[in-house]
Amino acid sequence: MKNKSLFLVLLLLCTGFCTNLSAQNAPSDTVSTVQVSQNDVTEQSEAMDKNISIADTLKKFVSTMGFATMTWKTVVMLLVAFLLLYLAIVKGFEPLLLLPIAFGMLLTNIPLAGMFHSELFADGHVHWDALSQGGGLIDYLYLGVKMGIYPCIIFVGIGAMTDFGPLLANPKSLLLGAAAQLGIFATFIAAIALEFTPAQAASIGIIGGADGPTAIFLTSKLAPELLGPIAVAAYSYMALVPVIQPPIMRLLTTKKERQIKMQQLRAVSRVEKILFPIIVTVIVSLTLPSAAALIGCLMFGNLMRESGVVERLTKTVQNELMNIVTVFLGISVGATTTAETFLNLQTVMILAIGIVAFGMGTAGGVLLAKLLNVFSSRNKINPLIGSAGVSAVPMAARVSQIEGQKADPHNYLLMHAMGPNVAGVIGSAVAAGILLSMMGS
Amino acid sequence: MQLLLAINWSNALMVVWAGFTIVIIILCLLVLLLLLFNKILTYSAGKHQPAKQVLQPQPEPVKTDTVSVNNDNSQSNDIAAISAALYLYFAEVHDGESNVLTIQRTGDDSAWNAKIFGLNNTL
Repeated sequence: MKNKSLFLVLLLLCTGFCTNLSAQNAPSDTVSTVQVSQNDVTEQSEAMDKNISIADTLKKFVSTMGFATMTWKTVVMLLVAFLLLYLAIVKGFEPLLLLPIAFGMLLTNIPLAGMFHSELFADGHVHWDALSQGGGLIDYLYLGVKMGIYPCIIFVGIGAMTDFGPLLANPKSLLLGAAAQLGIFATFIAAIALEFTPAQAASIGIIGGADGPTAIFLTSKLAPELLGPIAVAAYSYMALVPVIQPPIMRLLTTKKERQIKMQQLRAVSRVEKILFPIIVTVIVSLTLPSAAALIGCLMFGNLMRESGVVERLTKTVQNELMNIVTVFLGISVGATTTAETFLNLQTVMILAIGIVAFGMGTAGGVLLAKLLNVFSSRNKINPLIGSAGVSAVPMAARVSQIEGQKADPHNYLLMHAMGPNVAGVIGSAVAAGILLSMMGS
Repeated sequence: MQLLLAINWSNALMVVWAGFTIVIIILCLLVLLLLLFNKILTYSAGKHQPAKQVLQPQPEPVKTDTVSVNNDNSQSNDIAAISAALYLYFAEVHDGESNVLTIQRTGDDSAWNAKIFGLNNTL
């Protein structure tokens, strides 16, 4: 066996050696051609030596380096990208989207790398000719955002992962989900006051819905130039829900209200769960066709889940499809945050209004829950679940549970809070549809 | 339209009022439908009950996808029985293995290295 392998190795070596020899001992006509070409090359190199020195070459190389063309804006953007990476990796703030967004931001702000070409999407249109000639990977990935494909696919995944059971068991939750959309419309007014255009104001307002895909969907349609700041604000604040919401919840409720124990939810039949997505799709899409894309995708995903007959598809949508699209969405949205579009007063204002939007949404849900308690003497609602009406699923519901347990350790609000929480997803999609139909071209 | 809205505050407030109202109306409509739907289901379940009451003294609960409390014991017994059967079945499927992986030396030519073992005489 050893002999065989030794023989094979020797044979390979001999073959390689003979190939080299045959190349060197080429026929005489080939030799003359090679000699001529070698002479040409020598002459050329001598001429180049006269013109270019080593110093010039090095200088030229240095001038093509990213470091040479860095500006303070680029440095700031890279630092912001590092900060977001830190928040995603170390602090665990929405890492599934914040990490790809941060890395997209990092890539797009590397000078001379030319990772993303915003001019291909200038004036709200895709310049297909230019894209086919000079578009790169991120430019092509961005098409999914530009055309509103990724948010819809993510909504299919969210639908496939969402259990609307708590909402069906307590339909009043839908009202809390509706009230939490107050943040969207209050922020719209604030943005108008800050001299944003109505379309931009609507896109900024949707941050208050605490729904990343909806915010991206609406912004890509109404104000694509603000996509980067709005996406970063939406996802950053979604991650900060446990920090933003509790003070507002405590401020608007008394301890007695926070201790309210809610009735056990009734069991929901499979028939109800199957019919719910169909009914919602029909009703909402007929009333508001502009919301059909988001609501339809959400309910399609949910129908796949609840029907139980397409388990393979459900698993794919919940995992592989959603994960792939999340990566594409994150990277391409991050790539839109160039220094020119991100480092300006508008971004600062968007970040400031965004936090107000979240606060208003939280307050709207809590206040409506208190109002409902005024009218119903029995089956009282714990106002803490109202804050879950912002659709940061399931983070907002968890916050309600934690705050409820702080007031009474034996109070379990999680399932009750899941109702308004998933209602918030429907509510923000409906609100996005309304704003799209009012502001869209 | 957009330019007008940017200038005209009353239009901006109108958008807010109309938008929020439509959100509330659509979701209220869904609430009503869900409540109505729940009543229909409860009614249809109740309609089937008398026939079952002849057989059973207690009304049968509405079929749900969650496990009811009454069935817990019987179901846990079933699960225990199935688990035991599966355990016994799988215990007999394989011989006892040492769980130690080894490579046995079989001389110069074995199934791992000899080409002759990989050839099939198809003629």
